[in-house]
Amino acid sequence: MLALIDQGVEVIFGYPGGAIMPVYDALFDHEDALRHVLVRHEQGAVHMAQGYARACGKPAVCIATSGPGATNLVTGLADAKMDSTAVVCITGQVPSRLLGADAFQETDIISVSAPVTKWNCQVTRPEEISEVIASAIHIAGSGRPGPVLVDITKDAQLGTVDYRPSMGVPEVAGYPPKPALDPASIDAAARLINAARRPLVLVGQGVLLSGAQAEMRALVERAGLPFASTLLGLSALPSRHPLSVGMLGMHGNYGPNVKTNECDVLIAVGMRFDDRVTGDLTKYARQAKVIHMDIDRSEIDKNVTATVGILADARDGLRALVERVEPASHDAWLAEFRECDAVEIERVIEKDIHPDDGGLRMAEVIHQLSERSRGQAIIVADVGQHQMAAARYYKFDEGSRIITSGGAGTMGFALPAALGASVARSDRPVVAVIGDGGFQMTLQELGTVFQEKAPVKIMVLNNEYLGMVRQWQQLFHARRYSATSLVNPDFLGIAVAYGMQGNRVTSRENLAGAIDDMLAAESAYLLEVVVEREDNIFPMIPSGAAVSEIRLE
Amino acid sequence: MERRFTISVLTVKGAGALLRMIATIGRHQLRIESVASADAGEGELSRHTVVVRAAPDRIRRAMKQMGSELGVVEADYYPEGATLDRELAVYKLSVDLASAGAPLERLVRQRRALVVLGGPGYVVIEKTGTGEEIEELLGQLEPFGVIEFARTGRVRVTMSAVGDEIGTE
Repeated sequence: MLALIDQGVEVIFGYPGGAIMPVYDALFDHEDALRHVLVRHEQGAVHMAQGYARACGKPAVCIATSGPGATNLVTGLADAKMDSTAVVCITGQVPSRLLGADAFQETDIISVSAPVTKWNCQVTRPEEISEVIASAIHIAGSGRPGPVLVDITKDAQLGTVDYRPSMGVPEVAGYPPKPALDPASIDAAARLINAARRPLVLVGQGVLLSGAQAEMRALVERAGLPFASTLLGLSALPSRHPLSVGMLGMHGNYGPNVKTNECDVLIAVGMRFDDRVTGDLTKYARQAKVIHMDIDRSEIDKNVTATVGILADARDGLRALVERVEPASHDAWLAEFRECDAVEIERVIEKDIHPDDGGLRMAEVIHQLSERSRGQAIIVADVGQHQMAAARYYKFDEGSRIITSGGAGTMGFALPAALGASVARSDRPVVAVIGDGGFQMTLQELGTVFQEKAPVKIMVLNNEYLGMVRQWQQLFHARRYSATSLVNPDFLGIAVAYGMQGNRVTSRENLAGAIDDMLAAESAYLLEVVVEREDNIFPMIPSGAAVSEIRLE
Repeated sequence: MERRFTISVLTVKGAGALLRMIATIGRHQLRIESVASADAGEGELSRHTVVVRAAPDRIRRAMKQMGSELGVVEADYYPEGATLDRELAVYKLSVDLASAGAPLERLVRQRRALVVLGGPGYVVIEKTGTGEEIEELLGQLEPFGVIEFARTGRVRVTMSAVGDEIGTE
């Protein structure tokens, strides 16, 4: 406990059990310094930690017992690895003399978690704990952030030692967290940008993780660079910035996807050219010179070959780059994006956010949420159609944030992650946008919301389908809706059972008022919005197609 | 098109890097043919030499990931023939050295092998060489009755005055 407190940890998300009981016993004496959030399932703990870490930028800690407690963390670890989230999971383990004996609740969590962690470590001696905890928090939060698991045997937890705090930043062999900036790569990138006629910047989550929003903004504004965001990079710069051209990817905006294959210089910052962004790699930006800035050397040249690779923390790299680029504007090029926007507005957006008839559309719900919250909320989106609607139609203002499961696509992420975000950020409304399918994957965490009195706003977009899968079944499987229709419980009844206020809205005229009521509530609130059953998310890049082959309908 | 590559990875001892290295090899579907791991003679470092079969783009991606794993100090890969490779093999034959006589002694000498142990009814021969040389000798020893055969994984050094830069991550 002292090791955690000394590392600046203030909150722990966890669930007790046999092999972690000594830690919980110690926690009992430190409850004034360490807030413990008692979850309802260990997966909830790790997702809460993810939400906390991404909302405040600090490594977050969760605790579980051995065996099933530890394995229940695995989904969250994999999610955090894909999305570079600084999470430290501490698991109890059977006493060291029983390791390998198939003892009760023994699982080799080190082997299980190795592929989904940045680092993991088993501790069998009490004198190692302080140093390992310090290293774990350092590793999770530095360099390219990621999840770390520390497995502590019960005898190590019970052993008594004189506590010696770990001093300074621990040195970890074989781990250089921050690469030294190569000035030659910055010069080469600046030359390309200065000569560019049709440049396009791709803003990834690395900009947020390194706190490089100001530097990113300075670069695009100085050199007049149109910028598009990945899903996780969305809130790095305001959505309504004059140089913003929208979101990349499978359900991103028409302009940036099409223009990716027409730009002359592509400047990617803190992003990894995920397949959902690139579509068919053999037809991706072949005409462009590519500048790729990333802190993880393994990302450069991984999917897209860089003309200039910049191995750097985004803030360091951008700061150096800003000094070397010349003031410029690319108005004609930007106007081409606006022409694409006009096409998308006419053929997709207007129909989505101002439909003439039929049931409520997901896009109009998110549009209203964005308007009523003035783009100020922290939006925690689950996975599916509603996630894409949230990404496309919520207009993030300065300081707001999107938190969602990007790489792993973990349904059930949003409710616990929103709770974690609300623990971290009491200064902004936290709204979880969830589908009826994902809501029921981690619904038990309403118990944690109730117990913690967390003022989380939960917006369930209910179409009684696993909507994204159904959309694919419609488009690519001849409407054979195999196992995607849901018969749902009374969500409001569940909210009431957990002592929560709530409302159910089915009509267009009641939507804005219902959202206002939700945002105005001082405590947790569940707003169920019944939406059109067979609503589809467009534009869409069909799986395996080129970005420029994006379909508007 | 799959080809054979030799992977050479330098890791920090005790960082779980071997576990991560094997997990990375498995994830990228590199097919392991041999593994040799030992102290690298450079402080607290271990050298792992793994022979795999893989498509070139798969190994490139796998080695990029491996190079960024915590605890991995160096991760290189080499196409077949780009390095000096050696393996060690021991062959136990069910013969007396005396009764096998000159033909066996001649074969051992020609193949630059060694008789390292002998006793009533058995002889142990040791051979250092490339994988092909070891397999060739195995075939030539079959007439003498091979009752046990064991070989190490491959180890390698680069064939230049400096470290080879092929595929360095």
